[in-house]
Amino acid sequence: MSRQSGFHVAAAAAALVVVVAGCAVPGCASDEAISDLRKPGSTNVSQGGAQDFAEFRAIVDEGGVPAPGLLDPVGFFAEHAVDLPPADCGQDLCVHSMLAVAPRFDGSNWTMAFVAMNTPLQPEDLERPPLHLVVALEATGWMSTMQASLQAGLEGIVEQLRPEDRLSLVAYGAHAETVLAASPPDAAAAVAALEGIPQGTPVDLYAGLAAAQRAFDATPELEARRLLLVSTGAANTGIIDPERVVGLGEAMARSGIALGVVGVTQEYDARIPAAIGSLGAGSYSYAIDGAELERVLRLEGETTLYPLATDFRLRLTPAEGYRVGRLYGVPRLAADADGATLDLPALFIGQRSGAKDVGGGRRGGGAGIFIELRADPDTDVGAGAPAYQMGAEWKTSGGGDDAQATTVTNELAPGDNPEAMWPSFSHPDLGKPFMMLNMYLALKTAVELYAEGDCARAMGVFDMMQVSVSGWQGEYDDPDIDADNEVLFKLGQNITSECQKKGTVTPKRPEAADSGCMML
Amino acid sequence: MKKLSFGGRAQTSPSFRQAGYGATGVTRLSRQAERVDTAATTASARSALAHPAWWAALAVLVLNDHVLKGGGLLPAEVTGKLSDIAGLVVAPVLLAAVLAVRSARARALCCAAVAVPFAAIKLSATAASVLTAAVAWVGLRYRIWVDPGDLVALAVLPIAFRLTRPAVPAAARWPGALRAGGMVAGVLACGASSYASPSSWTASAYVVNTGMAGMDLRIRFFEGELDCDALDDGLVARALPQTAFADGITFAVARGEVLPISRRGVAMASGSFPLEEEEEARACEVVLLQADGMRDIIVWWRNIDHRDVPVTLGDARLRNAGMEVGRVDLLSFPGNVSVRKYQRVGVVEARSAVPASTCARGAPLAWGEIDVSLLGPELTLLAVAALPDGCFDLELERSDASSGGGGAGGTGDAGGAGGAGGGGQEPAPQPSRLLLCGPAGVLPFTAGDAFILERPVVSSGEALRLRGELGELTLYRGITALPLAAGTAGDLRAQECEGDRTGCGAYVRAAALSLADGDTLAAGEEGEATDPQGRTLRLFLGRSEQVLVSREGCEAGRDALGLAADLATVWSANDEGGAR
Repeated sequence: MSRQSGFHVAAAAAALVVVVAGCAVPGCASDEAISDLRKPGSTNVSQGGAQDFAEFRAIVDEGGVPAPGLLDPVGFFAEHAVDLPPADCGQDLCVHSMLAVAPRFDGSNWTMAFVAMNTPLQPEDLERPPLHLVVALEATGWMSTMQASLQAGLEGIVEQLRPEDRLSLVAYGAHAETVLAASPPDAAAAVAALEGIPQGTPVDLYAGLAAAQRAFDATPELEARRLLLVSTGAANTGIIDPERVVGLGEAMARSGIALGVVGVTQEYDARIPAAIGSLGAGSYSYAIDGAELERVLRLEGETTLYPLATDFRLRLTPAEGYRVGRLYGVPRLAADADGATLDLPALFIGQRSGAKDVGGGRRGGGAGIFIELRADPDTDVGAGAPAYQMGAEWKTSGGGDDAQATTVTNELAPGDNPEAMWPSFSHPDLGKPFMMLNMYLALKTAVELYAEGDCARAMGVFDMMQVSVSGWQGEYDDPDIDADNEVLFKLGQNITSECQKKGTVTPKRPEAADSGCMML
Repeated sequence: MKKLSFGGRAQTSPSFRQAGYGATGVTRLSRQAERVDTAATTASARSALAHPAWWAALAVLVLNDHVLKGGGLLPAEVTGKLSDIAGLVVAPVLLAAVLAVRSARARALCCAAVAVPFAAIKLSATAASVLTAAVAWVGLRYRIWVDPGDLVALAVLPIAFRLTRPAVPAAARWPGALRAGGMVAGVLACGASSYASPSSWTASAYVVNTGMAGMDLRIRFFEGELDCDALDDGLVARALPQTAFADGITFAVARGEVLPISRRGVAMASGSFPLEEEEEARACEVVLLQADGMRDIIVWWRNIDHRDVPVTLGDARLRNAGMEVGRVDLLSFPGNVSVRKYQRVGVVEARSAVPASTCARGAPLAWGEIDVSLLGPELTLLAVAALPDGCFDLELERSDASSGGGGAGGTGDAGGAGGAGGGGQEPAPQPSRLLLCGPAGVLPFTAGDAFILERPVVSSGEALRLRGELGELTLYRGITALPLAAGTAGDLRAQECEGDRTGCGAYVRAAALSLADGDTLAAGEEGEATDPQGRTLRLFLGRSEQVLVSREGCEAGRDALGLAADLATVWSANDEGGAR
């Protein structure tokens, strides 16, 4: 099975992609208009962010061992097709809550909640109003080294715009400058505008975002607004406090601006761009070289985003006998004393034209959040009791309020493992998200242990996981998990090869690794 | 104890070293040597021990182990290799002499008998473990580092082989007693050299494996700055997730073994951990311990002096009262480890997430890049726009430019849609922009107003002032005290509430401004004060916090420990009934 390196788009056959961010502006489709477009079928809704973990895969394919930070959970999940129950909740957004219980490899308990969303809306049926696309480019040295790719990518974007759309280009370095203001789609004009942009440091990212906002403000008649930020992650002059920079991005998303982020250069500092990219208002990508940049920009051009909800808040509250443990999924998911909360300024539903398969047999499109539930050792709660309550509330694209709530029960007592050598799933036919998480945790554990110099345990991950993978594949023969296993296998080879350079190392199964995989 | 791995920092490994019960090992090997010496051996075989080159190697071995190692005269890389090189000369020759071998084949086998195990333990952790276990049966305790780089020492084997030749001319003239002495000295040097682990560690804090099984223990040191005075169990648990700690060093800790967990002690145990003076001088230390079957725990302590700590639980010194200071016991059983702490050391479970504080810390006040030409002259505010996050986007022009140059120009971006003013000989300069982030309602100016932009000098932090006839706005960033007249206001104090982890890994607690009239201004709140001119100012306290943990890469204000606040002061003529 071949695996493409680089950046790819997670896309289902229907070419449905991204999601999330908001619409509180005039011109968004009303509730009535949207309800007419509901029809059978469901589109998964992601929380925005990375679309794949291509860089991680590419390094593994090349025989290397990636740094732990390159394994983005959102990107990893996005490369998996995750089937959810039908979006028949009667609302534009259906939130599904699941639970899995299994032993860990050391025999202790692994209880995991999974929450994901889908919508009955079909994006191909939604009408898109004229779009104002602002591309904000960091005007530093990368523009010269990737000039041809940037131009080609920009041409690709312009090709996908309609005559009534408008394109603005903002260049920001020490100062921000609008080099092309609300221009009709014209590739030559866009490319010409790139010429002569002064490049250099320092970089005022906040000023770049503010200039983009001014560009939007200058065309209030354009109802669909989208910002594509191309950044090395630098923010070292002007207003540099991350809270302020990300805060402006969040406020823009909340005002209905779809916000995509493309990171560039090998020196890319992901901290601020990743935070903006995880707002849920669009995609988040990283282009390591010019070819990837061109591909990413073209894909962005092929993507259309429709506002679905704003001020989305999801709250998971553990029931008696449980407390929240580790969280996986999106950076904005936060734990507190009583549970976990996901706040997103807005949600978009996306459609991509000319989408391709993600590669390696993957369909992609998976998203969701995982919340570990740890059993209270002193609890006397028995089997069949609630494990957690999920509550979600949001504003509809028409400005109304909507909400959903679910209680998920555990057929086992808190902390108990199933007697059968198979996890207990609240939705027995929909256990794949948990296996997806399992594969993520295995990769994560391996690269983290390797990074810490613990070769023996890093190598032991692969042996430890094989029975579980074989067991799962024997039941489902899932191409995504198969592809994961191929990455895991290659990573194992690479780690072994690297470790053996330092001497013979005997693998040791990290059964009690704190991050913990489930055993089946 | 065996160091299994060492991530994060480059290290060199001294090799060919042994550890532990040195005295026992000396005794046993010495008796063996005496027994062999009394057997019938040929003078020619023993004559190899009389070769000056062998004695030179022996001298290097002894000098290196007892003087150079740890003496700071030579780097650890050099002393480690010296031991290997000298040992690979001394040991094969000694073995050939003890066995009184003469044939070339037997002498080669003696060299191989030393070289093969040496190579094996340098290449294979398994071989190292086997050897460690094997010698433990005879009372010797070895610490072995797997390091293929040490194989370079094998290059001296031809010299060793040559020295084992039975008829070395000069050797015949050496007295038998000297040759016998050489044999004993060689045995002692090889079996009981001080490049073995010491019989005690130097540590401020340490763990003891008091359980029934060995364990692999990963030690990770905190990376960043800590407010040592504020440390307690609650703070450590809230402030420090696992990600606050550097990559780990993993040790195999056998049952009954002691392992230092202070930096200096770990440096000693791992052989060549480079120490910075600054690290040794830390007033407090925080260490993450990870092991199979154990929740990640954080051990912390402060102001414990380094002292000698026994290497094993069986050492009677460990029962001294003073040894309870800084001691943590790990009761390891297969699949489970429980923890017991002794004196002046804290142990808490590491938490990947903690609840948010109930105290607000406020939003940072900030301003964008300022064109220096705007500092000083009177400026006209052409337009003010509110960004979606509440910050202000000011469009400015020098007042002298607009009076002489005609129209004020457009409102678009520089280079964008903004038009130039008309009426003069030269085009009017493009308007400048200033981005300001302050509390809502803080700006006392509207379009058309004039003011002067200043950067007042303040005793702490930095400031920006917009001063006009109709009002005055001053933004202070990172100040530690209210920059007003003495007696007008108090100071910053941390609030009695929990802190929060920040995105950069810092840990901060909300702080409030104590005003002279007894009131307290919390972050995000508004108050009043009187300035030196007697004017009534409105105060807006922005981000106000005490940084208790700081990490490299944190933004300004969180990159150093201590209290700091952002403050806006506003005077408006309208508030006082008209212009002054």
